[in-house]
Amino acid sequence: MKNKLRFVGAGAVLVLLASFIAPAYAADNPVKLVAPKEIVGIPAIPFTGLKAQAFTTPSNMVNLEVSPSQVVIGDALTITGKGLPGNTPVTLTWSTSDATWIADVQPNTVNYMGTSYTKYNVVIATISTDALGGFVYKTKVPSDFGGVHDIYAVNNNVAVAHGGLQVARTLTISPKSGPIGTPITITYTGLGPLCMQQDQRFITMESTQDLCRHVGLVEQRQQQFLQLVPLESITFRQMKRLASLISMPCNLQFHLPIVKWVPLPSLKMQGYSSLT
Amino acid sequence: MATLGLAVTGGSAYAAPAASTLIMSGGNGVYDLGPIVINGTASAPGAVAFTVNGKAVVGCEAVATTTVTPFVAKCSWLPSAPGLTVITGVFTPTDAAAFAPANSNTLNVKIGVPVQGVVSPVHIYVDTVLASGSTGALAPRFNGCAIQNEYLIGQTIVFRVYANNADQGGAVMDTTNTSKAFIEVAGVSTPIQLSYGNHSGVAFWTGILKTGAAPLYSTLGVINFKVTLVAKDSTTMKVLSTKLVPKMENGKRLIGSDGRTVYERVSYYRTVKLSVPLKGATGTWASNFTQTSQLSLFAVPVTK
Repeated sequence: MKNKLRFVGAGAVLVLLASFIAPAYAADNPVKLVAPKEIVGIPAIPFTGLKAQAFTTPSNMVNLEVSPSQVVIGDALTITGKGLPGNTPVTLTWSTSDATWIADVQPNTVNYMGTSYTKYNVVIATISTDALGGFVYKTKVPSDFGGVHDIYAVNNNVAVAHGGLQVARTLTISPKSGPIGTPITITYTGLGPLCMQQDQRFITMESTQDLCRHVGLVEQRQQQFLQLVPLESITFRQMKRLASLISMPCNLQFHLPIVKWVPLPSLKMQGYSSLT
Repeated sequence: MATLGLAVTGGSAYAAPAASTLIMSGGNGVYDLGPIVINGTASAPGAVAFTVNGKAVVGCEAVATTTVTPFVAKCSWLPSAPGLTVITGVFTPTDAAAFAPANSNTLNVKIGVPVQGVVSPVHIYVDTVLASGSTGALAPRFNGCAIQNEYLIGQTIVFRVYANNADQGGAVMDTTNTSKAFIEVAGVSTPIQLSYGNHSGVAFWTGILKTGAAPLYSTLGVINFKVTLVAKDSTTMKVLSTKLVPKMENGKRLIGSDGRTVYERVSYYRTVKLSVPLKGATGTWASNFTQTSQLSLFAVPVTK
């Protein structure tokens, strides 16, 4: 029943999307899709949610110290500035992106043509440097795309300092044990445009496939540990696409029913954790 | 009569106008490069009023849609400024009894500006490649000379720079005619000096930025940099001129119907000696490509 409801829900979304993009077919192709406003669960724009005013980035900026430089969502974060003008207000900004899918709308189908990300800066906070031109600002890593985020200290529309950090991914599964039929939730955070490029190049995972790989690992062990129903018979790429169409998420959740007794040893769960 | 009046009112309410839609698209183009077309696609025939940044577009206050589906109205618009631009529209149906008016979606476009925005006699071209010698996770995926803009901490970035000087008729800038060549990188106190040399048979300027643990460059994110080349002062310069030369055909002068030689005008550079030396021109280049195309530094992901 849940599956049916989910299917109906997804279908409704697709119909909604189709109705949204259909008029543009003959006018201008390809089109960039926009998430319907009615969809809930879209992560908020980080920090203040305010887009920063345009600013220049001269080559004489100093470095901001960002610690730690590799984080996951929710981690504590310290931004330290030194060597700036004393007693001067600066606006700290955080780079994020708007994401959408590019579609080629044809009379009888819609062709998926890739993603489109628009990078921009939002305001973290406006603070003041001390008499020595320094500041220390403590905050937490917000729920946002993964990968690298630029942090600028801006005064009068000119950046005076720059730093950055890298948001890593997490993959969590809960609950860690349960009887047959217990729904489990796989939560995967830190997906992102730059993270995707980075993964393609630098690590063995390819972001549009890595959850498939994880699930693949699960499936390889299913006789021993658990049996997952197929992801509604769609691939992760399709799932991600659908999810992005719905909410442009930086976090993604899958709900899968356990259909076989699962001993779920802690070792196994730790194994998954190591895949984050 | 009263009953009849009620019946008419009820009938009218039941046949309320159908909801309409208006989708804006297009509108994307380059500043100062002619008009840009905005499309307004409605769900019924009618007229579309186009607005840009909240102001009506002159001449597009009521553009009729096509009379058959798709009901498209087109507005030719000349941007007054580059950058982020908000495009909206209002649809007024022809059959107001059958269809309701509609406001469009908000279409955000960025009107482009040229990358080569700095006007100078010195024309600079810059790209970045990965230095050879990396191994393991830091090794190049394809080969070290692939132009790329994403690097990992631990890799060495090679800036490749080549330039021409219009003051000297587009002469290649090399060590004989260049007084300064360097790159300023935000967060790096000392500018990177460029050196001119032979690289497997082709010559250009190079500078390297080593990344890694401090004191090497380690700031994650966009690497903001500016390239500067300064030409040497010169007592001569080349001036673009034109002259008439006989038009040739099959190696022979072309003779016109009047029996005279036919001439054509061609351009050439004329060398001019200067009593007061020409101060060497300064050229700078800083990337204004989109944010996602900027030179960026990543870290090898760690398990947390």
